Amino acid sequence: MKAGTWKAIATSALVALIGVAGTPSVAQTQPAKKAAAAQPTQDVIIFRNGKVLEGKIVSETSTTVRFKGKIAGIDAETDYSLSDILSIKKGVAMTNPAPATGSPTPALTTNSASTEPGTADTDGKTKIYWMELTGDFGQEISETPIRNALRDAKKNNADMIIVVLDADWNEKDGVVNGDKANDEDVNFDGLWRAEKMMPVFVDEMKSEWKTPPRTVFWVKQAMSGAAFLPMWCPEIYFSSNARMGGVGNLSQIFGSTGDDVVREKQRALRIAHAEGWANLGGYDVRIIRAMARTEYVMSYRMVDGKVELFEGYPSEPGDELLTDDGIEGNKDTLAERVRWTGNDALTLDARTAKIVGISKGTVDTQAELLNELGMDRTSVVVPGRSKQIMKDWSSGLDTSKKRIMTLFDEYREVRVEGDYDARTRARGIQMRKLDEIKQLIKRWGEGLEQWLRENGVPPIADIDTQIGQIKLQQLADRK
Amino acid sequence: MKTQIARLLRTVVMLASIVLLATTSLADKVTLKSGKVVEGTISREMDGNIWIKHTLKGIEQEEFFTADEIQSFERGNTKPANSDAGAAAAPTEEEPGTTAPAKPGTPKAVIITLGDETNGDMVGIYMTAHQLEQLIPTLEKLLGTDRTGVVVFRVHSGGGLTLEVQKLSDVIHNEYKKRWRTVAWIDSAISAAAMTSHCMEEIYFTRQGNYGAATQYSGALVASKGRDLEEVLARMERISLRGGYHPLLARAMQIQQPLSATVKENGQVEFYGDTTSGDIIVNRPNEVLALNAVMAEKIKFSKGTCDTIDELTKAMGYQELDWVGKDVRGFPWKISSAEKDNMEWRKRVRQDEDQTRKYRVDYTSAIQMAAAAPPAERGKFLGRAREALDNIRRMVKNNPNFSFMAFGMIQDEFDDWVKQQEKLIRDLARR
Repeated sequence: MKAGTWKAIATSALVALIGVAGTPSVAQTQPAKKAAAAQPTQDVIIFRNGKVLEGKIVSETSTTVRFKGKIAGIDAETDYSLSDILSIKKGVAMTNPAPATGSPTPALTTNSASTEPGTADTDGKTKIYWMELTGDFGQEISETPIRNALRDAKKNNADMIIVVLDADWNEKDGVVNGDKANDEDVNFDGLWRAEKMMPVFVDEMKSEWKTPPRTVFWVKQAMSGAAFLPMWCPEIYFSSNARMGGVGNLSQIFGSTGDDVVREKQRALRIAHAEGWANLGGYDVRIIRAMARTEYVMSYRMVDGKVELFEGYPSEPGDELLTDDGIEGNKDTLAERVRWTGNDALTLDARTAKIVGISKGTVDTQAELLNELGMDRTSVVVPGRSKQIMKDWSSGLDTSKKRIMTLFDEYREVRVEGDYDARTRARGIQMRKLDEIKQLIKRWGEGLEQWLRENGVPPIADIDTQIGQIKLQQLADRK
Repeated sequence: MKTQIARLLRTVVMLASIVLLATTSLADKVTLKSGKVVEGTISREMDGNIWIKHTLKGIEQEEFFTADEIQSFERGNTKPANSDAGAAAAPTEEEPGTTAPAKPGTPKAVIITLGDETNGDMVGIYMTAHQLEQLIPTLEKLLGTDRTGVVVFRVHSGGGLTLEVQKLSDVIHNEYKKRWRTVAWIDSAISAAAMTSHCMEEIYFTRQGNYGAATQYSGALVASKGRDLEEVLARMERISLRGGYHPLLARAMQIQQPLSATVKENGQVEFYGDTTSGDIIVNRPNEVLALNAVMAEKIKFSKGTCDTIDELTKAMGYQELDWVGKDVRGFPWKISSAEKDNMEWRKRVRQDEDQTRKYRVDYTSAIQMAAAAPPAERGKFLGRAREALDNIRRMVKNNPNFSFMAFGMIQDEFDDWVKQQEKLIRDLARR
């Protein structure tokens, strides 16, 4: 969700609440008060991302609120950072109080499009949990929302998880915006970002679930770091226009920096990492080398109806070249690079992914995929919250970016001047601003790595050092 | 009184006989194809081969029988009466898990992680010889020292300081291997982490495991050359001998050494320093070797590929291992008290590493402010200075390598520096 949309929703939620609590005329005040006294009340938190929670404030500190409410229908007591909260309303009359029977309290106001789990009539069918990963890889697509969605899948007793991977790529209408963007966006080192996410599927699922559910990836767009994300998974399907690759810069990755033997060491460790994930998925590890290294030549031939990959150029009729050595006349043309149709490095499409055994099949709709999986009649898609989880994460990133910049501006504007009390207050404000920035980085940092770098936001350790210095200045100050 | 004593003695003798009978009848028994039967305690099993401890003519000994020699074997469920095998392991700390207790006599095992994703994995900072030494007393309590215990190092590290490799290798080789069956389970062992693991004869991989790329360099990808290079190559030759690996393997991980291999009919693997003599190309010309699990198993560098504790147990040749520790959410193996200490240590190291700059700036600023303040007002600054100095001292005590890594001093210099600072604080307080 974009910031503007979020702001509108947050504002409308606030206005709606003010309307409920503040519009009655004077003539109506007395009866309204009586009604309020008779009606049960609750506290309401409106978050900056538009989410609204109702329940009871248990305790408050200068930076957090401990709140008891229902999350996904479950009683929970959670600490929320004040930096995430737009507004707190205490003692709001419940518009639709829970009946005495103790059935779940309906939400006071919500802009959430999510459906609470466990409402689907599964009728003994395989329960499928649907997770769509869209947006920038490493930002919107990140380990925390994936982890939260997987936990939601568990809550929904999912038997199967389908992950739709459609990561943003710098292009328009299938063509990358200019040759420069094309070459710069090729990035094998997106692997390191993918390696933060893959263990959530591989290791955490193993320890969270007694029997981890069957997981299927449906690739629509998986370029750069996103190309590695599905590799651990033995069941991958492609859409007709899907692509997986954009990691073919390993042979050029360090240019002429340092010595060749060290550059080779760096390449070797990267390849071995990526091969490990491919091996885990049950794929031929040579595919990684073909995707990553320009000079690696790979072809295939059909032997007894089966694909046989081999290193080298075609040598028999019927052999087909997958990647050449990218040297001189073999070098991809500009037109090929822009369209990702070259063969210096392997960029998988629906056809080649099927040939090399990465893709189990090509499907373009949910129905086709379920049909391919043999699940069309025997399964039901459980209405989980994954969409909302991803949306909340995305809007949270937007909000935190703005908030961090605002906080830095506000921090810089604080003048430590006046009498002792004024100076003490000013330093207190400075420290609170820095502390809030720190909390935001802790919470959202994984999706903001690049943005934090680009905007010169100091690391948490430096913020701590600065807070320490302010404390010392305060100690040195005299009345 | 005499009657009572006699009755008591009779009871004791009777109970002792029952215990003796029970324990003797439940000893492990290995029947050889030659017809010979050896009773005692099976101390180790691997690939069908068996080590059994037993007493012959009053002398305790451990015998080894190959799978070919063995007709059958039976496990009892306690140690034999005439053997003290396993005695060292008997009084071990009980760390109940949620799973059913292992049979008596089942070898005890622990996982010790070397590096993790959350806190850190750098050799020399998060993986140090000092820390492995610190763990030994706890491991002795958990596993005993009779070599029936198993320490599995789960390695997850992208490398680090080659300065630490020899020290780590020495602790593992001279201290751990002497006490326990010591194996490496590789998730990722790159560069110095591979060099560290290389002294272990038994290396297992996870399916996504990787190992190698051990080229020594500094700064902007500048390789060690000349004497430095020869020294590190020679060091890895020596470490290869400890682990029983062909020296060309380590060499191919360090420099652009082509390597091929052939697995002979008898199962032996021959290595060649080119890509044409062997059947399998292990390392291409101009490349540096980093193994994946497939190649590691193919050339028998890895003893097996295992993703789970159960798979590892079987791959090591055990029917069952008593994994000491508690089940902890989020961890696929039991966490022993030694591993808990180890993880907490890494966490403290991480906190200290993150706060190093703060400790230094806090200390320097507080001293400066104290020096500039009138004597009557120095106390509060000196209090802050002491606090920061304590943090620095504690940080180095927890991880001595910080003296060099964070403060650029060897340990003695650091100790002197601390003494000087303490004197400075005292002097400022007195003036």
